[in-house]
Amino acid sequence: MNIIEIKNLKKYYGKARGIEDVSFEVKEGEIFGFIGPNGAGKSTTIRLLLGLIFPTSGSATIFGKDCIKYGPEIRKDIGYLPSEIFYYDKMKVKSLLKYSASFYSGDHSERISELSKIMELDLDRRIQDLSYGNKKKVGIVQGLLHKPKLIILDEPTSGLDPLMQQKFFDYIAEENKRGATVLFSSHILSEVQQLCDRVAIIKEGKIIKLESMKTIREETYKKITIRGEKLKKSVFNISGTSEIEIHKDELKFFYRGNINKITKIIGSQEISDVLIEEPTLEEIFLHYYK
Amino acid sequence: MNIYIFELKTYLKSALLWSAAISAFIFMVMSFYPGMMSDAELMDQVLASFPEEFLKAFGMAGAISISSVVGFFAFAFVFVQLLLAMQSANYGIGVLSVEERELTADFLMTRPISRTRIILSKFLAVMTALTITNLFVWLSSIGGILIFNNGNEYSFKTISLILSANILFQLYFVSIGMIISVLVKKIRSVLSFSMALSFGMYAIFTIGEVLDTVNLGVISPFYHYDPSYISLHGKYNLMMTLLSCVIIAVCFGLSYILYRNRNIHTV
Amino acid sequence: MNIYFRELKSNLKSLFIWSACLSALFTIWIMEFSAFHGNPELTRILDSVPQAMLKVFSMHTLNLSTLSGFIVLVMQYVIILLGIHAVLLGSSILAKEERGRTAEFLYSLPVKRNKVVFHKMLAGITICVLLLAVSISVVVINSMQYEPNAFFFEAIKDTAAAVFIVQMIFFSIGIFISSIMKRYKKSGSYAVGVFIGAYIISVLIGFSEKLEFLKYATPFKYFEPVLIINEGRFESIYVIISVCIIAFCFIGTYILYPRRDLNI
Repeated sequence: MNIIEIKNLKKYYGKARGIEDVSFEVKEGEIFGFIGPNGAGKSTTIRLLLGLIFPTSGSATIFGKDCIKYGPEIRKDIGYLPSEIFYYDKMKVKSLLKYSASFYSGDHSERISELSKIMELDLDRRIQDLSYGNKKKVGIVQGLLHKPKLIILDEPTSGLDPLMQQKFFDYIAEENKRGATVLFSSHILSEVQQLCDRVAIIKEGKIIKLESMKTIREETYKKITIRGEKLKKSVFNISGTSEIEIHKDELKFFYRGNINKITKIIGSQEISDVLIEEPTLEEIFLHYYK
Repeated sequence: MNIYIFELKTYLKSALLWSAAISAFIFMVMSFYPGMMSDAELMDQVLASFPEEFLKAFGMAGAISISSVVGFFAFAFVFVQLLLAMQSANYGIGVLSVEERELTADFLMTRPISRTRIILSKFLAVMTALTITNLFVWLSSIGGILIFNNGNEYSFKTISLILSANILFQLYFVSIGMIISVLVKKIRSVLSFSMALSFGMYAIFTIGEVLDTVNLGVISPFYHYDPSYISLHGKYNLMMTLLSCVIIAVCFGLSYILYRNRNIHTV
Repeated sequence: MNIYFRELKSNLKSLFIWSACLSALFTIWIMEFSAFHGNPELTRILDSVPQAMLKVFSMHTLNLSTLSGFIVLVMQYVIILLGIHAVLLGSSILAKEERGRTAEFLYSLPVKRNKVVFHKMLAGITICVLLLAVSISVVVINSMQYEPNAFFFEAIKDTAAAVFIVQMIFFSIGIFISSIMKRYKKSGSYAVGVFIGAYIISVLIGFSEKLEFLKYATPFKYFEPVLIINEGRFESIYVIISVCIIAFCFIGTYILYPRRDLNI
């Protein structure tokens, strides 16, 4: 079943473009990545889903219900982790968490302490006195304390140290295993690489690619770097190689195709070193970003 | 309910401060009554010799003799209203806009609640805070009169009528404040608006009083709930009160509709 | 100088809105004066109303049927409204850098902090003067239809000076408060509190002779339009007090603000 269904969603701020024509679905139980350069429309799409802004045209449903009409109802099961956290003046962390929990039925105090422990969050401090990263943690706990079925993350790990980031990802992965669906917006491709099942790339308000991570990896090339004294470009110029570069004793290129063909050629040369890598998601997407 | 309680807590300290300040002011002013009495008696004698039309032209017809307790109270109460106006305008303009000014909108509006619930809770919280202040105004007004009446008699009914208008007076500023806050894209300084609104209405009234013809004063709640009028006629100015209520209802209704459909943008 | 111009520019919209609203207000008021113009009965009434009552509104010695008399009333409120504008401007002109988070940018530039303060002060004063100019122009233009005499223009000239001094008093108090308060968010409230307090004191003075001594505490009593227009004088003691307040606040700001920890 589709948890999120977005059809031809459009948002214009007067003449300024928010998003142009966005359509995609997020299936139950998957971790869906949403990537794009700054200003592409990631935040706009998310804010439309949450009912913070209203669409110019098109529709968006969550759990089968329209986001605007049934907003309050569907938000009962959504956890939203915003990119920047601001809270009420002089509030203590625990007061905010209690206040947030009061919007969701049931007693969440255990969850709050559990999550705070994992995230190493000091409940007694004033939010305004916390560092950016710690404020982020408040956002994370606040978004997850009610065991939401859909978790929407907007640049969630910016500001967290690598250890905390890893803890956070592990936690999200666990929640996902327990059945939560995750929509993950980011421009840090390594995160997306680590967590997501499927990925949508948005640029200038339009979705330009929608693919599963597996396919993306398979469809892409290997990055090969060879070191040797007498290397020549022409030797490696077979079908499937591209962007051959040679600099001093180092030859680099991308290759897609039958791996045997290229290894034979490499084997036929006198080389001192070889490096065969998967391109990073960065390199893949930069290709798409262009 | 949780929003209501939270918002009320936010306004409680301020409401108590205002209550203390306004109460102190009321007591101070009432304490001057005994001293003013003799001066006022003189005025009564002179004014009695003038025909109504002339007094009207100066707005003096509306002034019941200030040598009486009620007359003096009514006369001084305008300033109490000014203070109430500043407080109410401040609350009205600030209560909805605070979420976008302090950037907490992303938190509050992504909770599983409707905008309707947000606006109603906030409105009720603000009105509760203002009613607390109103309570103090009642207490100190009655207290002041009881202590400083100097043996003169007074109509408790008239005093109550004047004081009962407070809630509508406050409502007026709250609803106009709210509609302003929803119409203006980004409010950076609540005080500019609230001070301008409250003092503006006050200024419009006082100058409007002087000019007898129908003037801009009709939009000012100082005019709608003019204590001097009430004390003179023993009842409310029905037309103006009605007008006032209509404005309150329209402003509140519009605020509600506009806030429900408001796009909340990112930081 | 670029800071000065930048500051002027950023206040332009607000200045425009204030000018428009005040112009509309003053125009309507003065237009409504036509009902009173040359009405002799008014004079008689006013003469008989005892001082006590008029004093509260500072309307004693007022002759409303003449243009100059009416203008006194209008100028009362010009002082109040422009005073509000000045105190708000003063309390926010420095604080807004912290509020809008631009303090990080502005104060890490190769500029001495007190230079920034100085230019902002200058810009603030300019804005106040501009608003004053607009207000006075509107008042004068609208009054032309009543054929004002030389006395009227004298009165306007004197009251304009008075308004300017009151603006400066509140502007300087506002900016001084914003420079000494740790929490920039509250500076506006405190500055307005001082303003309201000063106004209430002036009202209370009207109620009781016993409080006459308090008139030194409230700028609204320093230069009452009534006294200035009818008696044409500025009492030197008040001018001295005003200058002292203004100087103290400006110098205080100039020295203290650079030493402040910026709360970003």
